[in-house]
Parts: sequence; C-alpha cells; structure tokens
Amino acid sequence: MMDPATRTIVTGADQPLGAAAAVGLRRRGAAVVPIDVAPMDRTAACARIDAAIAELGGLDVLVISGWYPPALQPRPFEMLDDADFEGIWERGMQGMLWSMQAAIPHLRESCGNIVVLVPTTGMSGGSQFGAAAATFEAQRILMKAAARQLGPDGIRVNAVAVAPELVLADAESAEVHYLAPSAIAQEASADDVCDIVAFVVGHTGRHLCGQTITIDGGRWLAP
Amino acid sequence: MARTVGRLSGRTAIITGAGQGVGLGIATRLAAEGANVVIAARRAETGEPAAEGIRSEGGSAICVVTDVTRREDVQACVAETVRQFGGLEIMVHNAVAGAAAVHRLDDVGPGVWERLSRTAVWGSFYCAQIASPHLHAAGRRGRLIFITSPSGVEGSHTLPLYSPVKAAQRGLAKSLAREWGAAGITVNCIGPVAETPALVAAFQSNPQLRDRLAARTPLGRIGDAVLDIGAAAAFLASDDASYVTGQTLIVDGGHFMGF
Repeated sequence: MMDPATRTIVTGADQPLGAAAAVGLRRRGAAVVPIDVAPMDRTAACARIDAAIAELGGLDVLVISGWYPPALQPRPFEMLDDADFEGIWERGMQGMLWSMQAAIPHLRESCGNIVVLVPTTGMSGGSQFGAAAATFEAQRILMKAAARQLGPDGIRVNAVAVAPELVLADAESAEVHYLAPSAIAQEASADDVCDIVAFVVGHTGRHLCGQTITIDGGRWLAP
Repeated sequence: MARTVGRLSGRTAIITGAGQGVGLGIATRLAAEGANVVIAARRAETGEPAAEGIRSEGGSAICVVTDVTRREDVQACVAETVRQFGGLEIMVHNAVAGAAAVHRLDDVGPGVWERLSRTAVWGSFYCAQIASPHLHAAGRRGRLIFITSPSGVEGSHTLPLYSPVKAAQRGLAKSLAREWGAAGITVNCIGPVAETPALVAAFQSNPQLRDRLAARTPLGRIGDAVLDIGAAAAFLASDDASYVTGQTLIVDGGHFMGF
C-alpha cells in the first residue's frame, strides 16, 4: 500500500499501461491524477503538469509512461519518414523532458520521486522497432542523468522496465521471439508494475537511485 | 599513418564529423588499412585539409561537405561516394554537435535539446536509412558504426541531455543489428574517450581535469584518436568482426566498466 497522501501524476494514462498504473496506484492508496501522453510542445507539456499539480495541491510522484502510438507498431526501418521519426523520437523525448522539468521544483519541495516506465525493448533492441527502441533507451538513460543531477536535492529517479507485450502492438510476432521465455510461470501484468512502483517510491526503496528494475519474469537478464 | 594493403582494401567508408578529433582518427586509420574514405564534414575548412592529409600519406580520401542534420545533404554525400568509388560498405556516424555547455534539467531549453538531437539522433537516422541499400548490396561486408559515449550508458550529471541522445544510438543499433542481420550487415557502437580538440579545450579551461581523468582511468592515459579509437573502428569495419553485431565497444582505458 501507499501513503494516501502520496500525490501522484501518471502520464500516458490514455494508453493501457499508463491507465493500469493510474488505477493500480489509486487502489494502493495514492492520490492520482492521470493525464494523457505528453505533447512535444514545451509550454503545453508544462501546462498540463502544472494543472495536475494544482489539482493535487503539490506533487510527490511523477510516473512517466506513454508514447506516440506509431512507436508501438512494427515498421521496417526503411519505411519511416521524417514525420514518423519526429513523432516517435521527438515527442517521446520532449514530452518526457518538459513534463519532468515542470515537476522538478515541486518534487524538490516534497523530496519526491520520478519513475519512468519503459519496455525492455530499448535494452534488447527490436527488429522493426528501431526508432522506438532508440526512444525507450534514451528515456532510460535520461532517467540516469536526472538521478545523478537531482539526487543531491532529495529527488530520486528510477525506471521500471516492463515486458514488451505490455506496451507494443504485435510484440509477439515482431520481437518477443528474440527474448528467452519467462523464467517463472506467471507473466507480469500491468497491475504488477504498480507493486514495483510503490516499492521504488516508498520508504523501503529509499536508496534506489538511477536504477532500472526489470519486471518481465526473468526474460531479459542483462548485464 | 601510411597506407598499407590492409583489411579494408577495396572498401569505401563514409565517416561523418571527420574534419577533426575522433572522426579524423577513424578516417585516418581506415584509410591506412586500405579503405577509400569520405570525410563528411560540415565545414570544408576542416574537411578538405583532413582529406588532403590522408592523401599525402598515400591514402584514398575525398571531402564531401555534409550537414548530417539535413536529409538531402546525407543523400548527396552517399550519392557522391558511390559515384566516385562505386559503392559504400562502411558508414560511420561520428558527428556530434559542438561541446554542449553544462546545463541543468530545471531550465534547459529546446535549443540545447534540438542541437544535440538533430546531430546525434536525426543524423543516425539519416545515415542509416540512406546508406541502407548500399550496405545491403555489400552484404557480409556491410558495416554501420555509431560513435556513442560512455555517458550514453551511465548518464551524465553535468550534460544530462547529451546522455539520452547517445543512448538512442545504442537502442537503434541493436534494433538494426536484428533487422539487418539476415543480410550479413553488422551494426555496432563505439564509446570512446580520446584526446580531441574539444577535450583539449576543456583541459585548457580546467587544468586539473587531465590529471583527474587520467587518475580515474585504469590505463592511466587519455586515448589517441587514431591509435586507440581508429583501431577499434577498423576492427569493427573488418572481416575480423563479421560475427560481432549489436554491441557497444567502450574504448576508454577502462574508465567505465559497466557490463
């Protein structure tokens, strides 16, 4: 369970993983404002975070998830045009960056947390997911840089890497065959992700900083 | 470095950002191993002397002025390469936006992001996509190499937006390694630390930096662009590395030991 006073924003709540995270964290006691995938425009992205913070009366946890929908569809690399790449890469990165930027002053006040949800595809690579994998891995490493820079202010930043099929369309045919089968019988669900988020942001996770916790039943085991 | 009949004889390589620093080191080494090299530099003022320097050592080199943030520039560079040398086996995307100033996530603006993103990531997109048909034609001799950075693995405290653009190259490289593997093409990254003009400038503004960096490096010295980084690139470009793909080779004297 989470402290009922944990004021939480979940971005990307218009997509299944983000929606499940919002519902799951609320069920665990947090006060949650879900918002859609962040736009690329800095002013618009910040305004949405500001409005959610006003509604919550402050901010303790920012959960970042959600991508430009074509990122989640397999597509041969040679078929991507500049508009596709801009949507997948720039919207994914700038949406995360500006959302984080708007939240930082409030998280500094609360000694809060940022948790970035990414599919393991950024770490494993994925055929026909080149632009998406670039974005996922860049989000994960921006998380590390943020952890280093914001840690001294008391803000912890971590990532939870989830099984691709929780995020990607047609992941089974396009990518998952690269990965080992789950080492445990039970496949992780989006709701299981909430247990990890609650642990990371809670007191027992207080020394986690810049880490990626992979919740895929033991398929991607690297390094 | 004098030209030899080497592992790369008869092959042609484009190296972006090769007017100086790591890119020039790689171009020099690939040429010494026998490759025709195309110095794809944004400015003729650096690119032309770089190509002339390689030719003066007996190498085969031309300069094609190229801004990697522009699709049409990369298309023109690849077209000119194929026109002059008959094909393209090796594409090395090394260009990076000039040294970014230290920045804070609190207030860094879109301008810093755009500069880093356009050169590193859009440049990777264009170089890979436009080279693709030629690399496929080269089959098992096809090579795509991105020059990334250790900070794209570990995250940088001082340059937080530099880290993700360098990480993106790894995510893209692994994906293309999978997507193009059946054609025999290999796709890899190098994460170098080398004494480049940018690093020398940093040493001049902060004289303790060299000693501090060397002290934290097990091999106790800063890498050489030709002898250390160029050698790693020549290995990945050669048949010796035909079974190596989707990897990031960190060439930094052991400073970062992440895996």
